[in-house]
Amino acid sequence: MMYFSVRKLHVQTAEGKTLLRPTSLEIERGKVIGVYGPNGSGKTTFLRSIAGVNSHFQIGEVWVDGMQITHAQNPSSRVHRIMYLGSDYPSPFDIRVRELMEMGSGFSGKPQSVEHITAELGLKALNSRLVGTLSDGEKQWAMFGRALIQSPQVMVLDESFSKLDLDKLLHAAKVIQKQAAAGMTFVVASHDLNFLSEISDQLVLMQNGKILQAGEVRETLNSFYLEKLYPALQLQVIKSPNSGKEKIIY
Amino acid sequence: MKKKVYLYSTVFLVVSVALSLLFKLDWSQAGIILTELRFPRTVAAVAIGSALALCGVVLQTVLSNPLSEPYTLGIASGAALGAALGKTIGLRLNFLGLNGGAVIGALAILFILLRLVRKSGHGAEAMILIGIMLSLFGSSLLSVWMALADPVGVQSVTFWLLGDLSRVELKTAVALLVFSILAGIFFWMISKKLDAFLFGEKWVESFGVSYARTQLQVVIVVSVLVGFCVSAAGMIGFVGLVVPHWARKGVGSRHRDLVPVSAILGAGTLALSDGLARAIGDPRELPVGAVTALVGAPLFIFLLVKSKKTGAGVGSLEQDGAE
Repeated sequence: MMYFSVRKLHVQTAEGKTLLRPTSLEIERGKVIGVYGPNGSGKTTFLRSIAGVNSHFQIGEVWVDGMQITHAQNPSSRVHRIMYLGSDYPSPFDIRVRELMEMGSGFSGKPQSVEHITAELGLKALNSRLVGTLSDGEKQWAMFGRALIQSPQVMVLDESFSKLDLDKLLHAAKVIQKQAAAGMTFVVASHDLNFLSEISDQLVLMQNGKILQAGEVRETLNSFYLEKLYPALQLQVIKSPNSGKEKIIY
Repeated sequence: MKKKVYLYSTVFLVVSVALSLLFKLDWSQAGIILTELRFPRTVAAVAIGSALALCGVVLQTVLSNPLSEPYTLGIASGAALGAALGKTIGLRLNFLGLNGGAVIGALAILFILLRLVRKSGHGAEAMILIGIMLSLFGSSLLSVWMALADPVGVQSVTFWLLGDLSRVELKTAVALLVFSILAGIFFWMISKKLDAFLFGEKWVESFGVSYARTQLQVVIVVSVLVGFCVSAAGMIGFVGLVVPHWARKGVGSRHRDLVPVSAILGAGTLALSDGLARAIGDPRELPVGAVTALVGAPLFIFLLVKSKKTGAGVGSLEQDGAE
């Protein structure tokens, strides 16, 4: 059986409106899966439901490393397998960045070293700052650090880098590739296709609550599918002279 | 840093208790006044003060709302109403001077509140508005009920609405203290889970903590605690609001330290308030709830205005408390 598999996952609202049409996906351990789709195409529904934190009605199965993920499950054993991380962090109360990192460690069965991740992300300078006083980008960066320390088997990142500057974004790309090489699996949704093409082993394109195409980046990020997503736009795909990955020009 | 906070809090508690016991003491009858009058009410103040502060801390956390406390959310008035109704209809749920009807009232109001907030789909401010309206509604219903159904007891409407520690018997006070300590231990044991609530409802489960289950546990323990406190000493407001914010300034928002420090500070605060209520009004006595509200209500407004202005919430209060 595949390390991470989604089988005929189907999500509806209580009123019967379909949010995600039956979707299946098989993912190997240590892969990075990019998810792209227009606004309202069902990305967040898809990501929340595979992570077991979807509040709508869902049928179908999600398996991670031999365990089925459901909403009813004990969250601590579920989060150890698969963790959903979003993009914004309202914090009516405040704690220091260092405490946030320690929380990541405290909630995990097999945490990564706080010192190590703090150093790797360059978070040391922020250690004694209150999370509420950070910029939006710094908050996302700190939350990503916390999630890495907590060390789930599959990390689902839903626009979790939307406020990062270019330097941190490329830093994130490096960190993700390193973690993936060490065995962590990533599902990353972003509106930045050029970022996704850089980090992803496979790309999933979504449209109208279903998967339009899933596969290797070069099979998905091409003018054929871009035209299906955006018939009115003039988009071009070129290869980056630096990384050899597909990039969008408009 | 944190050791100092524990030390100062404990010193504050000891001094407050000493003041409450010894203030304007008539030394010729010191023995009887202390054992018969002041000791029981000081134990009650310590127990109720810590209970209310604990309830404030955990409610603020699990409801992601810095303005929450038993009084502002209407839980205290639900408890008072439950106790009064229970007494009149002869509900036999009493033991050691504590009233089970109050627990039912507190639970009922909390569930109504959570349901209404969920239905309205609004955030923190709506919760406080609904809570304050429930509180007023409960208090009014209580006044009407006492006037119509319980003519002999009309005078004690003041007891319910403004609190009074003078009638608490020693056995009741000790029972309250035991409950308060047990609740404190429970909240301390789930302090890690409570920490996961610091980033709001959406993120709780990303730490591996069940949002609904933890919230339910807290709501039930809070209802029991508030019900017992109110049935023994009426509604004492704002201790649960002021003390947690004060404690956060000292030890930050992690519950491992926030829970015990709040309990200690809450105990000291109510003991001191009760001492002041007697001292200021001497030879008569001010209602202790009026004293706490005189300090608490302005602070509530300050916090509300501040959180609106900065948008960052009340946690930003502790910015100046750098390590």
